[in-house]
Amino acid sequence: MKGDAVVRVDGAVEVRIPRGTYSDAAVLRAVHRSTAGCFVQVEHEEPGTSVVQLRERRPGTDLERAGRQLLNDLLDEALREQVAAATEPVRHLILAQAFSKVNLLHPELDGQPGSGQAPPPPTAPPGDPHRAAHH
Amino acid sequence: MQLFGPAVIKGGGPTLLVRVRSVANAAHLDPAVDALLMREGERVGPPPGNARVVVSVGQRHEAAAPPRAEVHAQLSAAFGYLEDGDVLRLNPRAQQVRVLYRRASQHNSLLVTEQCNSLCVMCSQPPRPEDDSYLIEEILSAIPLMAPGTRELGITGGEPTLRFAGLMEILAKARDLLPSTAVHVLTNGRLFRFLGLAERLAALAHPDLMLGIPLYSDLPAHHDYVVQAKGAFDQTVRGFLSLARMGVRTELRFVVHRDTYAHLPRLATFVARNLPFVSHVAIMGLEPVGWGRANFEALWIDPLDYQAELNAGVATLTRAGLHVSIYNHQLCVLDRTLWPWAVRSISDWKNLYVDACTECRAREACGGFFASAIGRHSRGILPLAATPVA
Amino acid sequence: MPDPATPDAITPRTTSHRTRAGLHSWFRPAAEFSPAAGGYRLLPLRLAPLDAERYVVTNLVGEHVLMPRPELVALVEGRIPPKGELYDTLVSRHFVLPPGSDVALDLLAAKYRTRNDHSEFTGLHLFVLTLRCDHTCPYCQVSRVSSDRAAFDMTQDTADRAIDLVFGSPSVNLKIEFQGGEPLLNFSLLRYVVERTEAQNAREGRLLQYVVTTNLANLTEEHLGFFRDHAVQVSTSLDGPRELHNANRPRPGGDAYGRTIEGIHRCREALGQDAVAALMTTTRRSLEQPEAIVDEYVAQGFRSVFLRWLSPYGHAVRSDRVVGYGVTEWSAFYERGLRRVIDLARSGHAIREEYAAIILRKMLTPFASGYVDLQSPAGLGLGAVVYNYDGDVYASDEARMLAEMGDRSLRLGTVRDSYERLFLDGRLESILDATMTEATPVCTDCAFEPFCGADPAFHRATQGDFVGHRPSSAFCERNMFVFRLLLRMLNDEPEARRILESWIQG
Repeated sequence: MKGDAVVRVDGAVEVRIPRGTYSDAAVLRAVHRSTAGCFVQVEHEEPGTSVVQLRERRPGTDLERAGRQLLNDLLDEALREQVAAATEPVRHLILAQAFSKVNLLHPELDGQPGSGQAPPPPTAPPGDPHRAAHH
Repeated sequence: MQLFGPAVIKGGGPTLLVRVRSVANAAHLDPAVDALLMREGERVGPPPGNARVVVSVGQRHEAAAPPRAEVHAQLSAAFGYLEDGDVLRLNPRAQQVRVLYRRASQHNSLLVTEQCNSLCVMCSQPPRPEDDSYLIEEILSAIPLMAPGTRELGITGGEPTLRFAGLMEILAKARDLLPSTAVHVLTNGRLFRFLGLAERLAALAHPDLMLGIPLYSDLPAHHDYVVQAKGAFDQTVRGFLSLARMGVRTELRFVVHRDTYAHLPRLATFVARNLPFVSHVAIMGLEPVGWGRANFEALWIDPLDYQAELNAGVATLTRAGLHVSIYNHQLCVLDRTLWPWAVRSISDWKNLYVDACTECRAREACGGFFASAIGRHSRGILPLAATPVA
Repeated sequence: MPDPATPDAITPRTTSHRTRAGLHSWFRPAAEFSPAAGGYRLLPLRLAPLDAERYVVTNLVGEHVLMPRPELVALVEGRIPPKGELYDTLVSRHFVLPPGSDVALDLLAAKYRTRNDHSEFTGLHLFVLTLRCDHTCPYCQVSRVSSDRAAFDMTQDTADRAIDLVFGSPSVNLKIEFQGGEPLLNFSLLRYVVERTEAQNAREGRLLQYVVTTNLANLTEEHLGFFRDHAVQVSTSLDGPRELHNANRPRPGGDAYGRTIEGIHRCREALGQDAVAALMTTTRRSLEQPEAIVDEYVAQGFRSVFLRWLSPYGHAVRSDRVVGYGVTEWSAFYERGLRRVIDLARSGHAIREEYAAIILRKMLTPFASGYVDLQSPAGLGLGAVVYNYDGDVYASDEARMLAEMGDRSLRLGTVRDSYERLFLDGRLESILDATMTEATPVCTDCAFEPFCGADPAFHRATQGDFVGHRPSSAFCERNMFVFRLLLRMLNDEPEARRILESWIQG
């Protein structure tokens, strides 16, 4: 993509976003944040590009600034997607465990050590030359 | 105070467990379990009562034993502190005596086993792998001999939970025979990661039970290093959680030394956040005994050099509403801000002072020193001009 | 009190120990237990820009770290090296699982359960004894100046049915609060409710507390004697210095301030120093003088001041131009007021700001907050039930104010309905579900979610539905301001941190 990603077009601001870099879901979430001050419209006019059009909703909104903020927000949304991809399964596990009566993480710990499984053997070394010191 | 040592024991074969009765109380003596205690200089006119076992302390003459005694143990004058109601183990084969329980002491501690599944770098009671399962039976026999007025009883190891069934029996017996005695068990808590074991403990419904469990860092790897066992952090923390779930009271114990002090502030935050249910946090100074002595040079840090960490840790814990005590620290090396948490704690027989202490006005309120630490102490030791307000 | 400043920044010293003896050869060195490089697993986290340089990152249960964006990206990409302060903090606060340890999952689950456990909360039951009042405050949501008792007072029959509902609730801790209007204008009913609930509680054995919210203008010795005999706590209104208070709270004769202060003194004399608390309402006039308001609270011997936001209900919306203001103006007011409180606390006054204290408890402790406006799901019905003078039952005080504006969507029913019908028939539940912030658009990704909550009545009043449109929500904007302010103070201002941390103790 060449030139500025944020351009002014007849009383609106257009933000061009490469679709390969950001998921459409991330774009929509970032755009949602712009709706405080702007009316928004998202189009995919070329196959590889999303075009977000921002128009003034709250009087006095700086559209250009809103456009640049959108690009920043987009970076955060992409990071959030990365976090979600890495942590979603473990998040579900933690929440399930929080309200579960049984141990989902280590089911074997709900009971007692199995009869075949004696308590762990002592790891102590033999003898201790300093032992006499404490009597 | 000497609790263990050689003795001249005549008569008898296997190890004997006896409660001693003074000459004045000889009339109440139960020959099945009691021994007559004869102190130096005590002359027994006509042989009192019907004692089968006699324990004489510091006597120079064998003739002190009454004629009908089957066993006569002669102890050195170092055992002159023995009093009516104390419980001893006499081992005629090894010609040894061990004091298991002193009625007048607040610090009675029963050793359940010397085996352990951890190997803490500063352990004051280094583990030994020998089979010592007889200790359970001995404790079970000793509990009925203890005074019902005993305020507190410690149970220690080794790792007492390695003898889980025996530990349960001991606690049940203490519950039944010493219902007004607080019982404090020192354990690394690792086995309580099994919820079922915590459940069994809770099911005993002991009226006044506390488990003291050490945690040395908020970082799993570092705690594992201090206790020399990989995975111990996870097991101990899960133990805390299981016990809390079952309603068993826990005390979190922390020993300050060269390898732990820097972790205290963040550990305090961790505890406030993750283990807010602990009933007590005990912060202790290094005791130069056992491995604490062998590793002393590696682990010693002058308490003056960790006051910032101690302050930060105590502040965080206190803010979180946790009950905190600082043990084994001389008042003169503690910041005054920490005095309200300082406890005069070193067991009575270890409590000694150095020369600088003779002038000190706060001595009565001070923890003093471990006997074994008297040679190496803080550069901050100095006489205080004022007594701290209790 | 020990100095808790930046406790996590302390690092091991080497000064007095130039040479270091090793452990006995039986022991393995620390390095053998250290995690291998790059092996951690990321735990769930949420992020938000804090200021120009830093992000705030929170975990599922509200533990937080601040870090610059490049570090945050490194964290997410698994590139934080396993040595050093940052890594240790991330492990300790449960942002990553180090290799060989997963007990953090148990702890996160336990903390999550604790935070969402509202079972210990006090059930707050508000009795609106009358709408009548002698004050004509321009921002007041509900009150009427009237002598028409029949039209605006609660009847004994209504009170009886409300009392049955109070004891129908499962809470062990019950707090009955008398509201108005000016509840002392219907004192005979107050007396009746206290005496009847005391008698009934002799059989029920709940932990029962009473509070009366009054302007104290008509306080009599009879009132005081009754409050003393029945341990009724007093909550009053103090908006600031005389001029401001009187301007905010007009009444015949004009001296609302003088009467309130005199009432406060008489209450303390009769009931004890801590038996009377005060709340303030922030109007447009207040915005210029947060310091004077705080100073007034200290001068009057209060230990806490609650720098509140004027709720957009009732007359407050209609008279917006007189008393209303925007988030930006309130935020400036709040920060100035908070800083004044902190300065006074530093110089030894026992004073704290309640809104900050509520949020700090959420930031710095593992426990849930009982404050109705900052709970998720919304505190409706769980935290409070309102029995209106006319017998209508509402899920919160705000809900009845919404109803006074003509919107009865948060009305649960009337005192003639059964407990089951009012609280268990699914209506309340659907509102609660809709307001779970974890499932609300934007909130679900918000780093501040663990500190925040839902205010369905607010969003219904300002934006037309219970959830609201977060990007333009004043509730959201205002709270985000306070969260960011407190996080910056905690991390950047050690002296302020010391004071703020001391407020988490109940």
